[in-house]
Amino acid sequence: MTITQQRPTNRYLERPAPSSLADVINTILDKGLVIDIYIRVSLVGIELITIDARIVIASVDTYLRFAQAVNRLDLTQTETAGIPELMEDLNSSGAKGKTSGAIEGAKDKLGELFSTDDQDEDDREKEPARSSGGRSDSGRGSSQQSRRPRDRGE
Amino acid sequence: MVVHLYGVVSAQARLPDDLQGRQEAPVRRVSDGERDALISDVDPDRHAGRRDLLAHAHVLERCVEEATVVPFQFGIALEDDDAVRERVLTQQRAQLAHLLRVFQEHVQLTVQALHQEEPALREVLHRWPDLVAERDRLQRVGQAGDLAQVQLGQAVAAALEDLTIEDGAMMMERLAPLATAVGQPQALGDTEVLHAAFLVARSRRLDFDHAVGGLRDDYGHRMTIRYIGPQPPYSFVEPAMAGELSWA
Repeated sequence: MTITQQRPTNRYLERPAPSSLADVINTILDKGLVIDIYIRVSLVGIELITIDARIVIASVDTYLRFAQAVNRLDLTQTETAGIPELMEDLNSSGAKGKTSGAIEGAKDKLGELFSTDDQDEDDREKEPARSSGGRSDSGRGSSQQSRRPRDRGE
Repeated sequence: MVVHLYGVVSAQARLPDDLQGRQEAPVRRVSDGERDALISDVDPDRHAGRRDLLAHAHVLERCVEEATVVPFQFGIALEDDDAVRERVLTQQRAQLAHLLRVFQEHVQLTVQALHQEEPALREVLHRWPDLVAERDRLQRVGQAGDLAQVQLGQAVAAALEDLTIEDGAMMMERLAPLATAVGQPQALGDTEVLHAAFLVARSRRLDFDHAVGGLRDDYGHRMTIRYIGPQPPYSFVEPAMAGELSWA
């Protein structure tokens, strides 16, 4: 059976998922067609978010945190890093907590701004679950974190 | 009451008939015979919030599964159906025809990849052994001052940025050939490796799905990869109007 010998194209059933709130803020507020004469819908709170959530986090604290993080890393585990299954376990069990750190502040900020919104909080939970592995909840607001213009060398 | 404008489709487009828009109002179509605007009644005195943004986006995302969609920015409302017909479908006629032609049978897919800190740092230390040496030296010395730690952290941050740029470029290399066009690269947040919009032909969606799956296979151990869509081609409206999307 040659089929069983072949590496599958990918291990996940990959399907794109609907936009989360952060995606939406990133796209529909400043992209898409506009026309000249229209009534602008009043958007309380939303304008603030796009500014306030861009908190600059590259600071001495960040560097110290990186130093602490590498000090904690046990490199004897590096040998196992190539085994995808093990890494997946690591990621799914603990990555969410570990990746928070400095970016948590910006996310909290975003959360606060939204909780002052007059909509109920349940919407977030109603966002559809992602179809594939490896996704933490960091999507909400993550794209709004500190934006540091960077030359991508393209 | 005023009407909120979501987007424009061809009058022949078949769309889901149970679309719910802002303020739980049903989405309806107003037509000039060639093109239809998607609208719903809204109370202009109610503030727009999170639900309204999501309703706008999700209405268009459901439509783009079925048909070519020209998306409008959030926040456009007009007095009534006649105003939509006159000021949108008639006055913007040439522009809408152009955009529908450019976007024909295309959707936008967005890929966002974020480094997970610990696995990414592990990779950094693996690639730059001098960082490990410096870390170990400071640990041996003991009581290393904050300055030395800050410098170590700075070097780690710089290495992480190199890794980020390299990973981003490699991911782009694998996705871009499957897309008809790639959106302007966005300014990236600190852990972001890639955040890009791709204009993808409907016929290539499956290929694109597989390519994203392949990225997850190869990078999923140190990145969170988000795959968003299909969206209407928000990121390509401006380039299309500027004539930068050249196949049309």
